[in-house]
Amino acid sequence: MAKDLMLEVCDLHAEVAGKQILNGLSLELPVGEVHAVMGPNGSGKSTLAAVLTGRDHFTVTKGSVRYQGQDLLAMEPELRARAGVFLSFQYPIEIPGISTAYFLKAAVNAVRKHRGQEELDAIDFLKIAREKAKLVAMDESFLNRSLNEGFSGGEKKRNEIFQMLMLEPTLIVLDETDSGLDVDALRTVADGVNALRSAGRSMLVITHYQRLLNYIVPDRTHVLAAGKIARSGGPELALEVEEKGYKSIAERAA
Amino acid sequence: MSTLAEAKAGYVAAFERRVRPGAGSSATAGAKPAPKWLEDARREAIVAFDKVGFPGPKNEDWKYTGVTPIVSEPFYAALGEARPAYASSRVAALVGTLAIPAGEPALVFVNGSYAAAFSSVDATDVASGFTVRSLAADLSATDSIAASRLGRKLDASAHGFLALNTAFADDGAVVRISEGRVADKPLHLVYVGVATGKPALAHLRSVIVAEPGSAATIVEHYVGEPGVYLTNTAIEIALARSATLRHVKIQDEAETAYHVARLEAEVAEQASLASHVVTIGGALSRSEIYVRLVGRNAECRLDGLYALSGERHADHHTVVDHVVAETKSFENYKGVLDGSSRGVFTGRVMVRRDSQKVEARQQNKNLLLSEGAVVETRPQLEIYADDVQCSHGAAIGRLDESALFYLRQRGLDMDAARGLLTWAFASEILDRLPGEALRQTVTERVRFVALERAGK
Repeated sequence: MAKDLMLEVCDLHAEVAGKQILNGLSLELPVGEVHAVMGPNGSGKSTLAAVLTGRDHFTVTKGSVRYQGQDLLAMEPELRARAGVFLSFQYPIEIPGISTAYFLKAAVNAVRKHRGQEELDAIDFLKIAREKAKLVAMDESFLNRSLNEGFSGGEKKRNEIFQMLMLEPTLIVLDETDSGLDVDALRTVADGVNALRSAGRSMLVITHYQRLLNYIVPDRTHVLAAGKIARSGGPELALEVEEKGYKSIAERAA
Repeated sequence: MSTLAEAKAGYVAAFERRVRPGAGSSATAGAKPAPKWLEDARREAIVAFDKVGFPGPKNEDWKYTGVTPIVSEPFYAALGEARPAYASSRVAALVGTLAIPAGEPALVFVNGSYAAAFSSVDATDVASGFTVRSLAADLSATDSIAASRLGRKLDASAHGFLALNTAFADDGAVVRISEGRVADKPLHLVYVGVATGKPALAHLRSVIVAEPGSAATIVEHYVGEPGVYLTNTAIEIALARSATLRHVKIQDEAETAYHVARLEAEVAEQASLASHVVTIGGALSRSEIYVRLVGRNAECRLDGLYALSGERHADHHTVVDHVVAETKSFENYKGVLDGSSRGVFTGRVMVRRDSQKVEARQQNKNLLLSEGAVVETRPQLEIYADDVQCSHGAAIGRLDESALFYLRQRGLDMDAARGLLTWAFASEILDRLPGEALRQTVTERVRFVALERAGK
């Protein structure tokens, strides 16, 4: 019997400013699995993340994306988020003047409202936030600081994972979460991600390097080239990429 | 006759009507005659008005603010007339919206006249360091504070509104903070416009004297009922050596009101002026600040936020004159403009040739929330000294698309995301308002008037 699919990407074509970036990408991500999407610069990795979450400067010209059976592309970005799609940004935004706590409480309550749960008051929110912050070794004082303002690269990524822990999404897309992290920060971030691995949750780990996959071990690995999947395999495919480079893999697929 | 000429003649005639002996209108009957020096100053001012008239488009300082809407209203008709009666409950309602904490002294003016019934200033306030009077009361006192100050530093011929203010203002606040006293509570000056069924005009003139080593906070609130009225207000501030004054002006006039304001301050050695301006109301408003730093280590900080919606027009015009060396100024004005509102910011900084070791920082950032909103920003630095640290920056931008997307990706809808980002932009200025209660009230009001609509 076929597994239940969290995400089903079918023949996806997308362009930005008239330039074709995704070129017939198809991908099936079953419920409860973690898939890695690897690829060289310009292969379409970040575009895939952007299209899945609804950034509007990309135009989908062909193909479909189904999330838990729904037409994901027809949904506004905030509806995707409330339905459980979370993107850990490659470059998290800095917003001076708004604290992480203030922003995240609004986000958590928007999601809870959508799910028919009662909204959290400030006290309950802080209690949960303190617990989750510990999981990513984030100092509590970060909650009251302006969102990402003056944060180091590692602190921003930890904040992304912290938000993810707070929002408890169903489909997690990690876009180059390892970039700019030293080994210790990488381990902390990976621990946070692994804490969320569960039978009902799926993840798409987008990365250039194999390194992150030592800590977040995928069920399957896909290699992206020129806007589509060039090869798919098990976790060992990532090691092969590391050893032989993208070029040989893309050539073998061609 | 053109509207302009007609209006000019109207004001001049109103002045004559007003001072003619034995005119016997109920407004002046029974009132003590003004001292001669004041009457002379008023007459000089009306002559100056007749000469300079209202600022027109050729006046560089008023280039982006046309005053025709104000001039077209026959406000002068009300001058010299008996001030119409009003229901006290309506004043109380307006004052109530300000949520001034119990125990903080407040002077309330209604349609340009001091209203003791709504004010809470008494002898105990003297104990807190303030001597507080209405201008009318001060001028008839033997130890008048304003007598030696009023109009001494403020040039009534600078423009027509200022000339009219000097010619007609017969009330306002007079405040002295005694030497070495630190006022532990802010003093509120509340200017209320109550609708009277016809165009109303309030001329207010205030004087603040901060004696050596004193410290205080003074908050001016401008509020009004819906209706057409003009508030023409001027405040003269003198900070003596080592005095500290925080001045807050919240301009929340009725949507149909006009507001022209001038703050003129002289800051002596080691003294420090902090000014906070928040502009959210009025159809057309002009807020001028002139600061002269006249003693070493004198400094001023000018903060401003204009959050405009609808068809509002607000012009903020600031001048900082570093008269002597080793003085500092820091200025940060921000604008949030929605609808088809229009904002104007002019920030002139003058550093004279002998004013070495001056530090002057200026910033004006604007956020446009709609296609129809317009802002003009003009930093004007005139620096004649060479050993100075001066910087300025002006920016006009829209909400950042990447930031909006980030917030939406976390589940906030478009309205909420826009509101949050706008809020983040404005909060830098609001967060610096003194006092928790004031900060909260003003913050809520800014949210309600300007930002609730930001997401729409």
